[in-house]
Amino acid sequence: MEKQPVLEIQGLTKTIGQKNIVDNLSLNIYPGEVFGFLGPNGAGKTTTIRMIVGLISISKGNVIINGINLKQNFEKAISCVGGIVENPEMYKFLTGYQNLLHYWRMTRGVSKRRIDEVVKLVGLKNRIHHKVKTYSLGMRQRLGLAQALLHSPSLLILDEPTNGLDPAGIREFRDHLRTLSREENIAVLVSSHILSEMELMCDRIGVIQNGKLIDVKNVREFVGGEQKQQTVTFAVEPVAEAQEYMQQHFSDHPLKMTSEGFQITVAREEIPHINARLVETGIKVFSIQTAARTLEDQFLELTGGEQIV
Amino acid sequence: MFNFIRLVQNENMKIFRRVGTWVMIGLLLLATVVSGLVFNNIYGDQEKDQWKEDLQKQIQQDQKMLQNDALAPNIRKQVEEEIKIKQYRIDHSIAPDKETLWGFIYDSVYLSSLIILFTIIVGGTSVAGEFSWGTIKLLLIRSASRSKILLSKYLSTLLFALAMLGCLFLFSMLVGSVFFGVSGWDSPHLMVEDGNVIEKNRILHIFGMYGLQSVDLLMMVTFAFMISTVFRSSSLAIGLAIFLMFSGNTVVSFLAIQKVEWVKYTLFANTNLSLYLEGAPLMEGMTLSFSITVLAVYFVIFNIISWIVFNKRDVAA
Repeated sequence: MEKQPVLEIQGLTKTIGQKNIVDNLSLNIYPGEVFGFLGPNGAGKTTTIRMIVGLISISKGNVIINGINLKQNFEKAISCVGGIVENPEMYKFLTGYQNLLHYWRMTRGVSKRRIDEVVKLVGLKNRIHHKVKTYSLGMRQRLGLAQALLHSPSLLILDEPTNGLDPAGIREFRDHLRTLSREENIAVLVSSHILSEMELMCDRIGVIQNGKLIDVKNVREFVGGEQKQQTVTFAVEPVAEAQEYMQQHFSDHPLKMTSEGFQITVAREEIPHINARLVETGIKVFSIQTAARTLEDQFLELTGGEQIV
Repeated sequence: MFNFIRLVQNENMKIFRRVGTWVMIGLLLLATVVSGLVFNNIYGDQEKDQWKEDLQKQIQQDQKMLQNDALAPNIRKQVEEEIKIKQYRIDHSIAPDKETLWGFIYDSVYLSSLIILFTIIVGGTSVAGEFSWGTIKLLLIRSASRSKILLSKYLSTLLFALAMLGCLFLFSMLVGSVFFGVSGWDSPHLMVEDGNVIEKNRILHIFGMYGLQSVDLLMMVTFAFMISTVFRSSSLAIGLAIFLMFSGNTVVSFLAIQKVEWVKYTLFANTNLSLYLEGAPLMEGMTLSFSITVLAVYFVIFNIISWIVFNKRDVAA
């Protein structure tokens, strides 16, 4: 049975001057999934997200949130959406609590106790009555998440949410997102240009380039299955002997010599085989490293490493 | 509606939780105290019981002035009315305003130009501040339409102005009673109507004076609000509005003396409505209803421009 999508984007287009910044983009996002927008800077991620939340007017196409068209009933459609657009900018002269109170006053039918709930959820309880100007970036990010979750939205939209966070902060943020999407069945739309992060955060990834959605895939599919070719780095000694041997016996695989050994692209099950053969020949093997076919490779392959136009 | 009141509450919170706002209120109090000191220096030393003789002398001087045939008719009328009021004071033993706290409260009304300045700052920051703080991105993705948000900002700016006017009245009353005492607090305001001296309620008169000042206030704030919305720059809005506030009247009166016809359609030629009460319009042919119409047109234009621009604006960057 097909699930009802939380967010439907139909032929979304933004034209500025003669140029289509976002070009005929269509997409569905379902409850409980984390969807990632991936693309180089200037690809149209932010523009798309800003159109979805109504910050930028839509030139053509429709955004439908929970079955409500954003153009026709903005107030109702947007009430199902929580968002952070770029860095969560807060009123620095107010306390964290006053900031949340401010956004709470803009909701309908949400009990005031929900403020305390979200504060607890993002773990800001001890500092919530301090002024925001004393907060670190990580704490502001938490406050940003708190304001986005205040009205229990069914769609959470995050534009470059981990910009400027340290690794611990990123990890924590990721865990939050995962929990939210699983436990509260929230659909999450994230954009980023940091590939490794998206790999860990998302269920599905859509690649945007030059305003067009060029591919949508599951993350597992994306990163690549076991059968696929992998690039393996061997550190061996002596290098010259190894080179000679490899060129003789594995000449049908692309081989690249490095100062400490060589790099070869083979299927996964071939790796122990090569190792055994090398050892048999009396070549010392110090390490074998497989570089998983990363999202980065996929991404560069898809976008062809093209320049931003 | 419930939702809308909360939006205004939000804006008020953003105004009054800023330190700058309290500095403004402090400055207003300071200005009132300073002008209290100055006025006390000028009028405070006079002996309290001497005023009847002083008034007698002034009446004689005024009458001498009336004998001059070259006197302009409107000035002649003014002098005649003043003589009547002075005589009425002597007959009914009502001390001149200058001797009481009322005189001080009347004079303090001119401190309202300080309030115009402060309200321009608050109104100029209201919209532009959200853009420069980046908070506009979180403000506009709520279930409140842009029109409602803009209106709540505009109303809270006006509420701020009202609160400041209230503060000024309170401060001037406090400072006035400290420096001039509370004697004569129940004396009426005197004015001449149809050739007779009549007693008027003080509070109503003060409301009238504040009301006339508020015309200027309302127009300047609406202007600053528009600039702030259109250019998203609070400094431009504040600077331009203050510059116009100070230079506008001078330029307009200069042009009026040169008898430049179109000047009567400008904003500043019409903001000073008290000219009509004194019976001396800026240019011939200008009437109270003409000025009110011109002001209304400007008011509507400023607000429509703010509204259209705010609603259409793409929030990029």
